[in-house]
Amino acid sequence: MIDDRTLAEAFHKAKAADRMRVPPLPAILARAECAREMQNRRRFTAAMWCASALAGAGTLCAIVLAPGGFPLAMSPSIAVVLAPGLVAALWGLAPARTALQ
Amino acid sequence: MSGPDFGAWYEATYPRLWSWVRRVLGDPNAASDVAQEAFVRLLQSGRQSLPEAERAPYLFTIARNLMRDHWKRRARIDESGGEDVRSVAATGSGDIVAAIDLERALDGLSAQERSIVWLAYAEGWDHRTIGRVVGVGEKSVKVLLFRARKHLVRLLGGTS
Repeated sequence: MIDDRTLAEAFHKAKAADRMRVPPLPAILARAECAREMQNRRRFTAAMWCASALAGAGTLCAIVLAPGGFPLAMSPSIAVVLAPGLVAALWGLAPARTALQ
Repeated sequence: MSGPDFGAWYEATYPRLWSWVRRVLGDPNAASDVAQEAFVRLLQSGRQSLPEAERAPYLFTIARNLMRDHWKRRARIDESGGEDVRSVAATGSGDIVAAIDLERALDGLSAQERSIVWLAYAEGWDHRTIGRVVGVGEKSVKVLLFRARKHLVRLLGGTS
């Protein structure tokens, strides 16, 4: 009968018999620092995309809600101006979402 | 947590984490990758200042998630899967026979069973902590550990 104590001893012996190279801590710290910088950069990019998307949406809302703005927004000339901006803003949400994950 | 304190904790914890990951993955090289990445993510998260009782389980949980990613990647690369590259550390000590027997018995367990019995017997963690690390409830750990132990004892040649 193998009891818990025997089992625990066997596991401890197996653990003690393991041979591995412990990487130097400075190398791990450097990798962590690099990863943190990358994360900060991704967050900054995400913030920029979000700001772009909000600005685009805000501009469109302001034009539509302004007195006489709706017909203006529907006019072909303003649509030509706004459409690329709106597409860029909406398109910006995808990388922002990805970067925030 | 100050530098020297973390350094000492790192030196003591890295081998523990590596041993567990190696048993679960069965691959020493992958174990090194996962163990290093787990420490990097712990430092990146800024949670290295957690109390000792919470820090190690948190680190092991990160490693558990990294192992899941490893399995997913491996499944994508090697559709056949199932290949176990488990190897036994050659130490030349008199206890090697017992170690080999345990390693062989562990080979017969599932990854989850290996994970749970290792955390219970090699790490000596309670059901709650093991549950947090492997992502199951405390009561489930009790049942899973009972079954895994029974299975392991049978593989070791003892009566369960």
